Amino acid sequence: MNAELGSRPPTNRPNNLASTKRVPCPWNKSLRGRVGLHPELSDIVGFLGNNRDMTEESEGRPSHARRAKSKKPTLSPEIQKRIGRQLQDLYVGVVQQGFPDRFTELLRRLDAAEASSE
Amino acid sequence: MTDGSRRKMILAAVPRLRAFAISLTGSADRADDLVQETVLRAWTHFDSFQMGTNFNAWLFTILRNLFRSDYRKLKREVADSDGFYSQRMLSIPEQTGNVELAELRSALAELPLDQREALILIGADGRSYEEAAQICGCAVGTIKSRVNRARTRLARMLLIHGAEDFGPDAETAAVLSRDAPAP
Repeated sequence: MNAELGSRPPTNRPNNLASTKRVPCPWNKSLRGRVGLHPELSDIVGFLGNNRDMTEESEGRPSHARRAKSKKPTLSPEIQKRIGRQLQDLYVGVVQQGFPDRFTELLRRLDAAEASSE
Repeated sequence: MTDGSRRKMILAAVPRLRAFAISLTGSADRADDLVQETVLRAWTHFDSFQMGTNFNAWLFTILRNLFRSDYRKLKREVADSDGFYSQRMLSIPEQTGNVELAELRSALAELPLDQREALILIGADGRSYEEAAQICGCAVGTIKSRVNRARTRLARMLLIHGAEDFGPDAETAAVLSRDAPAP
């Protein structure tokens, strides 16, 4: 009974409690992934400087739902931007952490050693 | 020449070197060892730096090459089948407690090394393609294609990870339970 249903979400179908087994379903995964990401991160910074073809899309679920049907998730500009932004956040976070004293100390000693050998 | 300029130049580069090293190794401890090696190498080979060229990129090149040779050695000793790097990637100290950043860290660790370093240099460190190519010792076109592949792969992984981490909402769950194709 499942075969002919394909992967299109049913709009109004009686519950079939007999088949509660979860089977991986690529488009659903990608759809859920999209829905799960934070919407507030969507407006910033082109992903990796690739700003080509940035179309202004609202957070429109219906268009996502339709597109997410394809097996390979397409990289929507907003997803790209979001990931790019996160990557930068991650990196900048580390840069701003500062660094252990051992580096200052190491360089001080190298400098001192060189001074005394001259 | 001990006016401290060499010291200052190197020290100023340490934060970015660390970020690069942490992104490569996935481990703050290993990253600091790598940065220390880089600092020592840069100090002793300072004469081979060509003034007027990009000092920071020179340091990145040293660090990257050190990492590469360590990585090769390590791979010979213990195959990375136990996911050494992947696991370590997860142990980077939390900066924000942000779930998405944690996911990104683990996804990054799953990228092939070539792609990971290209992506980090371009997408996180903000290098030009030319600088990244210089640091990685390859052609600009190679960097571009690695970045593209990394980007696609990362996005795909994150979409899938995201799906696993966020529980299905009621509607999706219903669809999954009723409509999933038979295996």
